[in-house]
Amino acid sequence: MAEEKDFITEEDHHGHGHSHVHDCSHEHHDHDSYHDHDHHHGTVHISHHEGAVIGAMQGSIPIADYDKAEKLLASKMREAGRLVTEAGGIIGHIKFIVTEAGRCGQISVTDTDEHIRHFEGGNCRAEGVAIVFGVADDKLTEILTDTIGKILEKG
Amino acid sequence: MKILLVGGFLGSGKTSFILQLAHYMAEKMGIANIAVLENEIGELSIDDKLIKGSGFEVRSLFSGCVCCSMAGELPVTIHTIEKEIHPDWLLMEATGLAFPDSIRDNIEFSLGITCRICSLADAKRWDRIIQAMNELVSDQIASADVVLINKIDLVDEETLKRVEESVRNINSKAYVSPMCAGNEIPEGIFEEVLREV
Repeated sequence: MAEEKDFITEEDHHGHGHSHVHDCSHEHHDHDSYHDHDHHHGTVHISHHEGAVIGAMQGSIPIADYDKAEKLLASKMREAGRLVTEAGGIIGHIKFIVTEAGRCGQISVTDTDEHIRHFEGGNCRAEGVAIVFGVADDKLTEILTDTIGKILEKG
Repeated sequence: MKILLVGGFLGSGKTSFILQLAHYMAEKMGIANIAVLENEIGELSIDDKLIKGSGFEVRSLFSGCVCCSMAGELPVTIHTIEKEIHPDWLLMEATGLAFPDSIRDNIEFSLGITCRICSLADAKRWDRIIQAMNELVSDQIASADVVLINKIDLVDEETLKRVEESVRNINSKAYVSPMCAGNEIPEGIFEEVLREV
């Protein structure tokens, strides 16, 4: 699918954003996002906002043990964070929710360290986003596919 | 309905702060009806699950930012929350890319409700973020009534002092306080955040 870049820079936003209000909620889903790298592993869905590149992923981790799955996902998120930084980018955050049989955890990476919070939950799936700056779409897709994507399966 | 808008850059600790604040309001202040409005720019809603899991009433607006691309949906959503949930307080978490003053202007203009802004700053990443995203982060701090410098457990005293000076240079009128949302937040901070709304 062709990329249709239409994100607003920080400067553009500040110059226009405060003087008017508009509702393009029905269009931004389509004109500012696309799917890429649809491998057998986790698919990365790229979108843009305010100069940020947002990579979203969801799927299941084929490990029965929740603690092991959470630990593995956290390590892949750390790795993704490290690769974004090494590529000269800035991590906004990388956040995932992972669950199994009512156990839920939110894993958040803002540097290369992760923070995990547990809470009561129902049937959530493994899903999350990486919001970064200064990294090209293809590079973020490659990073996420080669890290978190390796452990996520569709469905 | 009173509204508190919580802003600050991505990863500054907004969700952790809101969770503690909501618990404080419910358990210490006896406020029974608290609603949380989560706005996330990603196409997946992540933070709302954490807050819902803690037992609070949550509504979500995701796939865009209510300070710009979803500005038109914000008043409608707040109106719906007021009509359906009747909360005493609405705690609204902005996206990490939002300009809080734009949201406040929108709410005041559309609904006639004045809201207070509390912005969080990440002490550990402050130098990097303020340099790379100066206009956005400065605006987030400048428009705040309260600025909380978070993650102070991850920096030394010298760094904290430098961050605090930088924050005060951007906004000399705000109440500024260091804190660590990963630990128990002192009650005095919550009282200041909720003051004069």
